[in-house]
Amino acid sequence: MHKQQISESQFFFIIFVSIASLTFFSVPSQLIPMVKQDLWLSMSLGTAIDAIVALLLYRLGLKYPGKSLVQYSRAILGPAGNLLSLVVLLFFFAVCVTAIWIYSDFLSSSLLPDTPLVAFSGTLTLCSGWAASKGIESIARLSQILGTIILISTFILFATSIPVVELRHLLPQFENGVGPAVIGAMYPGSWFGICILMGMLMPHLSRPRKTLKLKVSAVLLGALVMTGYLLYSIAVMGAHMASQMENPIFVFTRITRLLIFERIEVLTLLVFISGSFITYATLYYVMAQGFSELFRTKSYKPWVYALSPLFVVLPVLTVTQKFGQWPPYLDFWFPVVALSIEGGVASLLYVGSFFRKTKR
Amino acid sequence: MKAVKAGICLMAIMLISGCWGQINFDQLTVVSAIGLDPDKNGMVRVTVQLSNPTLPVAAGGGSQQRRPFVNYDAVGITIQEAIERIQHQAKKSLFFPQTKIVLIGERLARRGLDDHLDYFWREMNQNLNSYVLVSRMPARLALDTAMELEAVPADEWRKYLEGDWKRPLQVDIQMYQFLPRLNQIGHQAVSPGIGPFNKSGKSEIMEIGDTAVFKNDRMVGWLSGEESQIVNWLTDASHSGSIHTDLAKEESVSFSLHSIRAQVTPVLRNGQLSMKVRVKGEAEVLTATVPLHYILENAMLRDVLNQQLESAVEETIDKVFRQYGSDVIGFGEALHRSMPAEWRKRKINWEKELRSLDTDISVSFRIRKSGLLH
Amino acid sequence: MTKRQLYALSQRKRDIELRLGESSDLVARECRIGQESIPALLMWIDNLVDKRTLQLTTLSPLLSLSALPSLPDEPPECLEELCRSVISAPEAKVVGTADEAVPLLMCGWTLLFLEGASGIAVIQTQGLETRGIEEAPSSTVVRGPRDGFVESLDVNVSLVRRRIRSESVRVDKLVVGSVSHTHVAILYIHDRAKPEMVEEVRKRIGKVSIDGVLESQYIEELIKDSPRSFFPTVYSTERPDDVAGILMEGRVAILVDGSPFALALPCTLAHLLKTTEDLYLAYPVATFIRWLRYVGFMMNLLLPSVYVGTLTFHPEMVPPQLLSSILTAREGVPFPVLMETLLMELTFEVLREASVRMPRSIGSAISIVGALVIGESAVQAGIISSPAIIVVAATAIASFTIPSISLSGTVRILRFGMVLLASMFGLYGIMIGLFLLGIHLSSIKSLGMPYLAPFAPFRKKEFLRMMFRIPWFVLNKNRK
Repeated sequence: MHKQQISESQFFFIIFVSIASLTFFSVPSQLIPMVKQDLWLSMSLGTAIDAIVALLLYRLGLKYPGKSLVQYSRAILGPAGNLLSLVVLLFFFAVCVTAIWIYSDFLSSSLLPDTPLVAFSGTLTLCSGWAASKGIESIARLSQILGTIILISTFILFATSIPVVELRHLLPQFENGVGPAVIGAMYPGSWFGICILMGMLMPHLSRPRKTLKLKVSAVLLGALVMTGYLLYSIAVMGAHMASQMENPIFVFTRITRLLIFERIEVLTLLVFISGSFITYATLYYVMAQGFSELFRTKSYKPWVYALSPLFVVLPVLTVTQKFGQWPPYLDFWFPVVALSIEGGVASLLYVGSFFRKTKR
Repeated sequence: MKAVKAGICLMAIMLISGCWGQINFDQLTVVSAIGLDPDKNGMVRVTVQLSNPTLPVAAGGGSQQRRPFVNYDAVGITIQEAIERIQHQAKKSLFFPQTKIVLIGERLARRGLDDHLDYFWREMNQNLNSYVLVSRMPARLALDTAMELEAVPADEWRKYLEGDWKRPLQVDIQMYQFLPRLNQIGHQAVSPGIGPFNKSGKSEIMEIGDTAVFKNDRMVGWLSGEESQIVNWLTDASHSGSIHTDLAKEESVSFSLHSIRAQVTPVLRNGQLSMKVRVKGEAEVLTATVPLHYILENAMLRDVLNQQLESAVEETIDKVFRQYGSDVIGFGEALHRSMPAEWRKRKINWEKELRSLDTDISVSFRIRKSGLLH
Repeated sequence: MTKRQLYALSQRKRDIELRLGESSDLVARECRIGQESIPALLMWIDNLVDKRTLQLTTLSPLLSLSALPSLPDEPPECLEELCRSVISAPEAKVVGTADEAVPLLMCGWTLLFLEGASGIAVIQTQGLETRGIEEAPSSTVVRGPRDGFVESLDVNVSLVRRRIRSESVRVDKLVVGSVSHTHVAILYIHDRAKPEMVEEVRKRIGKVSIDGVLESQYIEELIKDSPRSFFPTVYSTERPDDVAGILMEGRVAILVDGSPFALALPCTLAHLLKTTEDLYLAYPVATFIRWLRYVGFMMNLLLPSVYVGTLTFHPEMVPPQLLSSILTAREGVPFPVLMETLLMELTFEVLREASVRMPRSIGSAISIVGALVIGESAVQAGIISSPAIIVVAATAIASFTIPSISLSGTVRILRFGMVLLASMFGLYGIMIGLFLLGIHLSSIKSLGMPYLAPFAPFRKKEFLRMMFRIPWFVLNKNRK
């Protein structure tokens, strides 16, 4: 089978777009109330955590060139590896459902208040599923364009909102010590860590040697941009108010105005929605590809179709039923579980690969 | 193929069923101002000023024979309840996102706003960029009687508040700045006031002047225009101003002031908190009622100016801190920023701290220009 | 003697006549050549041959021949010798059987039979009436060459050849169509075009199995990648200079006999938004115009949907004064925004179609009626609001900035889709539409080249060349 190839800059933009849009929708509501002005530290710690995971995956990827996470975990751990990759894939699945849930919940409360949740999860699944079925190449190409758009619009937004910014709001730093910032790092860290999908994308890369550098710089840029957004929103509203908002970035864009346009929040939202489409499409593709490698099916496309109903329905169900109560799940369970899977899987495999090498 | 067919069917259903979330655009009526007044039993009377859409004058809109705006009011425990009642009166779909002015009646402001205003954060459609004004007369009355050059008074008020030319003597505050400060002990809210200019006997002319000072969610008093300009300097909201110094009896020199930089720093000495205020800037002579010789009298003028400004600053701070017990200058936040630990200790009794605060004020302006004369 | 009887002229004439079903335009002329008076037979199809050429190159040399160049005993040799030394037509050869000869006959060649010779001499006497070379009506330029392709393949090839006088220009001729036997020429510069590309084009054209090809569109649809896509992945142009430019870029052009439209492959979205005139204008102007065209493309696609989406879902985004104007303008208009926009769009499309079909003299009348009746009266009567008219008119004007007719048609259709999406989900719907479109565009290819090529995948050099018209002096310096 002809393997689809993505170039370095495409990989860079996939990671960047994923980081930016996941952070936009998922991180602020937990991070800002907890850490407030010091969130830059949390964000950079999150990036650091991610860089370590990326390093492990990079080494693994180089050791098993042309193989994806699912394939080399089987090579390293045998049947247990299969179980491991199943865990990873299920984790991706959970991430997807959680993220779609947050996404549709937020959009149905802000963008189109009268539209039912299922419309959002449905359209999102439709778009990303279609993209996934077209393959990673198309997703990568589109992410290049969208990534550029995100960067440009961010730049414009930051430039135009300088008049409403009051830098004083960002002080005092470390009011409650470094503690909350360090603990708060688990929120961005857990979402950034989704980039272990890099392990699945590496075989598609035309030059895998450069992966680590690209990946880290993409996460860095993404984290930088989003830290910018979060700090801007605090600087505009003040930490007190920003921490009460469900999504402070959204409110920040409501306050900012661009020339004669007073309400540009919808435009910003749209930019990030398109970013989410790319993110979910990538996750979706990776999942389908992973499942097909795990169960050794011929093509990944049936998996795309098989997964789609779940993505439409599950996020809606979680809201109606008690299972997905907001606070404990997102505040604690999700980040903890995510971090342990992301870090755990990578280090387990890494250690395992050494073991295997010495045995030979 | 089946999927395509299903998709088409779904789309058709959505189209025919009239879709969700669509706004009936033609029923839209822009709310240009919201007025809030107190009513019995803690209720609130909400006045909504609906503006009739007008064509710009350039497009022949000048000759329209319609009322440019209509006011409706209703009473409710919450703003939302009152607005629902208004909905029945107006029979149109009220369009809030472009509200220009939120007018708070002085009586309501003095009664306390906290119960009502969270509506403006929560409600998606409210405009966080609307300007907050405190009305000396009931807001309902102010909205009814105001006459401005523009058809809809709120438009005119907003443009005025947005503009830069008014800044020296006028605070301006938008909803998103106003709301958080209602709960912020370290930096309390201020808001420009509006009231009838009664001296000529015409009540429909509204003057935007003075400044309402809030303590928490309650308004506690007014500041005059000159005092507001000092508050503006100290909060870094404006960097220019004007002052009329009294040289002698009935003799005065007017200055315009530029490039003002004010610094408010908390100083802690032996457990005693004091406030250091440094104001620097440049002045320009605009007019004088006495013949001046700039070169000779430069130093004298400067000293008079600095002296008078210094006492004005002191008086303002005194009034705000001692009389009103409200920290509109944001001194608390300044302390919070520089000494968070100290702030945590003192914020519980912040009002008491304010009243007993030592102030160290110094003002240094230099006169840069004297107009076309010397 | 038996040999002569075997190839009796009357029999062979009958044979050909039967093949053509005794078609009345088949002309047979008998003559005797030389002192030996050997009977010969000329056959051609009336109107396909140029009679003057026929007379000059074939008839008169034959008839004035005094002696046959070779011995009459070996007639096949004799026929070849005739072609070599007597017949003065530029092309003449001997073919063995009637099966080979008849297709040539149908192309306007003349068949020469000689008593006793088994072969058939075929002589090129084709003389088709062609249109003179005129300015291409589909793409006129202010500055630049004014010749356009005509319906004759040979003329068209000559127009291209005339511009690139290089030995490396290759012209491959193929015949397509089981009934029409249309000649198709593949043009490329062999040291610039990638060989696998040319091979692929040849393979694709070779695979075509169709009765007739009346226009290059037939070929286009049959050889294009992802044929279901709305987007044209084959470039078509009426201008020889355009084709010459395409060849120089290393792309492959296809000329089809009977159509003034040449095809070119590969063709990406950016190619469709470029015109040859860009290269003839001063570089700042050309760059500006190119940017305008990109803006026009987006406007054409999105303007009505953004109008509908913003007004019905996000009116707060409209600046206050504008909102007030739109509200006043819409007062009393009976149609909701969506319906009004769709109605006006449809009206415009009808108007456009009508003005294309109309004879040119009436076309202007149509546009006057359209502009007056719909633009003026509908607003005056309060049936349609003026903002809707403005939006539709702006869209219409923007649609004319797209140089490619096929792309502009695609965008016109997609525009309606966008409006429907916008009416369902507002700007979110437009976002969905754009995303789906983006995924589609980035998944299709044209002859191996990604459709969004210089943008995604990003290629810096080509991207710059696409966004800016690089002045020639810069390119010149680079080469040194």
